Amino acid sequence: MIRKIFGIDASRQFQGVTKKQLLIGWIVIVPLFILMSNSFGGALLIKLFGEQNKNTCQLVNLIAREGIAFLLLAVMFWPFIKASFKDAWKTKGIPFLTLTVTGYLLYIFITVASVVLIYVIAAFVTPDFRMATSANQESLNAFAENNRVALWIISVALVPFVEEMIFRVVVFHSFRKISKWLATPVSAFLFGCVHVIPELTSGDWTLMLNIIPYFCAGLVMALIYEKHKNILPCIGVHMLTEIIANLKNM
Amino acid sequence: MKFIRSKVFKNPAFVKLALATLISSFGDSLYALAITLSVYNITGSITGVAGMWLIRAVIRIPCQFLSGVIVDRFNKKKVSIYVYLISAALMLSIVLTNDTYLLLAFVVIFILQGTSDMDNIAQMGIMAEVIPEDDLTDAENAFSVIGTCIMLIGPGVGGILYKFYGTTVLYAIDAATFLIAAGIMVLLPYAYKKQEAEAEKFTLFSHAKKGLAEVKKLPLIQYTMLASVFFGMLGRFYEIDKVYVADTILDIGAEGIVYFSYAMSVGGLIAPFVSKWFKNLKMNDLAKYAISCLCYIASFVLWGLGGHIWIVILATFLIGVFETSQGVMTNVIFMSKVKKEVMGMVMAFRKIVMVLSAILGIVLAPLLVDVIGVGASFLIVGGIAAAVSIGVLMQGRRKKRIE
Repeated sequence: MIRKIFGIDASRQFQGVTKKQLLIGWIVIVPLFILMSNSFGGALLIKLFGEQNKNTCQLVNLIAREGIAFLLLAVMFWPFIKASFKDAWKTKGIPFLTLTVTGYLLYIFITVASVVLIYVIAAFVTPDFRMATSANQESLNAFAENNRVALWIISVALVPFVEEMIFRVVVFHSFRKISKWLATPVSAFLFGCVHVIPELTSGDWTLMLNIIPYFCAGLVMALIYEKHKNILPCIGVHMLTEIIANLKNM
Repeated sequence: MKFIRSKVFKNPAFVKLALATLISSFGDSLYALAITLSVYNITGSITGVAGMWLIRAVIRIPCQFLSGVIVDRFNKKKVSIYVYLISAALMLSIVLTNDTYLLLAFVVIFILQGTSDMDNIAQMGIMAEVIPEDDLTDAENAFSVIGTCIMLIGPGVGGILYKFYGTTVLYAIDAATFLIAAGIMVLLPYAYKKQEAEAEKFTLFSHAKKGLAEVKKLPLIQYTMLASVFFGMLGRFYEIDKVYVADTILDIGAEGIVYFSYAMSVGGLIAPFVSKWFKNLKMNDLAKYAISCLCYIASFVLWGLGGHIWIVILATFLIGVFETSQGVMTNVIFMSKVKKEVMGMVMAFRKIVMVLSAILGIVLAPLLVDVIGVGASFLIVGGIAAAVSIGVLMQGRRKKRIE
């Protein structure tokens, strides 16, 4: 059905990724990405340079993490990226644009539905439940006040590429060798976890629920990647999400 | 270290298997530190820590049975991947409890120990299949070096992380290491061959039963096994009491157990040289065995009675040194006194005896600490172990005289 709507050729295949690339992804990039997250790398910088430099520390950590990961991924997966663009060129990019827009709408729909579901379930436990803003979103909001240009560059140009390459190409691709039904939730769950590390370690279940929207976003991206077998629509949806979030912040 | 140049490192399957083991073992070393500190922080007593060790020991017996059956019946690579994923999810569930729910932590520890056993068996099975027989010794040596390196690095990194972020981060990193290990295992080149159901019968208990019958005929082995029971108990005493010794007796905080891990790892590095020295001593094997046992026991007693940080660290280092020598000499006695054709059965029986002795040690440790204190409990059990070890020597001499 999805193939029919978007005019995707059923015989499409994933762009080639070698086992060596995936292995380096697992032993270098994934650990680096986790260890340089705001909760570890950022917190370490804050401990070293003091709470008064919190924003600068977090920004430096974010730039370093995304910058290093971007360079490593671009160099390591260059043939894969080139093949993805060639593939887009062959189909004149039409399914890509359609998928990006409809993928974003799907993402919004599923995220809103998940939040509504959370409220319905939580209403039975604590009637005055209010879902908190995630720490990830809060730190982005804080950056937006002082470093608007840097935030736009990082969140729109670097983050979508880095995160999609890690979670869809390295993680999803690896686990897909076993089963797509395993690859989809695992990549989505890991995607969710790295966005809400402070909430997960807080011990407060109302904060932990913040993982659900990110998990749903991960599911949508994995679905798009599985259906179209090209990473560009996923990066497109992610970029669109970041652009709209940044515009909202302005 | 000849194996470093071995062709086993050119085998892609081995490299991936070793990487997955390296990463997950690093996570395990963080988990071992975090869970001890968490349980001690929640309960504030070594009874809780003993409970944790009891859970880990008790699950091992049914796990030996279940793991063997599951690993033989299913694709070992898939078993390993799913075990890693389940372990990651379980580890995250400890993070979510945030050091609050002891019962949940114990349930998770229980399941994790089971999954860990299953994973070890699966990986050993994979190793035997993907590595040529000639390279297996090198591969096993490499795995043992990985283990030692992790023992050196893990507690140090864990201690620093604990100081900065607390235990939850240790669990979170462990969960991440499991996920990464699962990702690496997916890339392992391994062709699963379905085996016939006939070859999958589990034999530990039936072997152990036959082993018991064989041991009954060998009084020297009976004494050696009895000594092993007390060594097993001393080992558990050390594991359970160390957090109490660090926090209460030495007053260096519960995280002081990191220094013990370090001292033991350094001792472990020197152990092969000491074992070689023991082997080259100009005396019979029984005398060497008795000396290695007495040194090992003296290290434990010194540890228990130490009372000062440097004495305790020195004792921990000595435990690390003599643990290997004593193990090597025990194996020498078994190899020389038990016939090859019944060795498997005797070893199966020994395996069960060791698990039961660990359970006994875990149950007794908090009781003895409460009643007579750490030092006296090591002194009493160590004294009995020393008497039994000398008994092995006497038994050997008596047999020689009769002959």
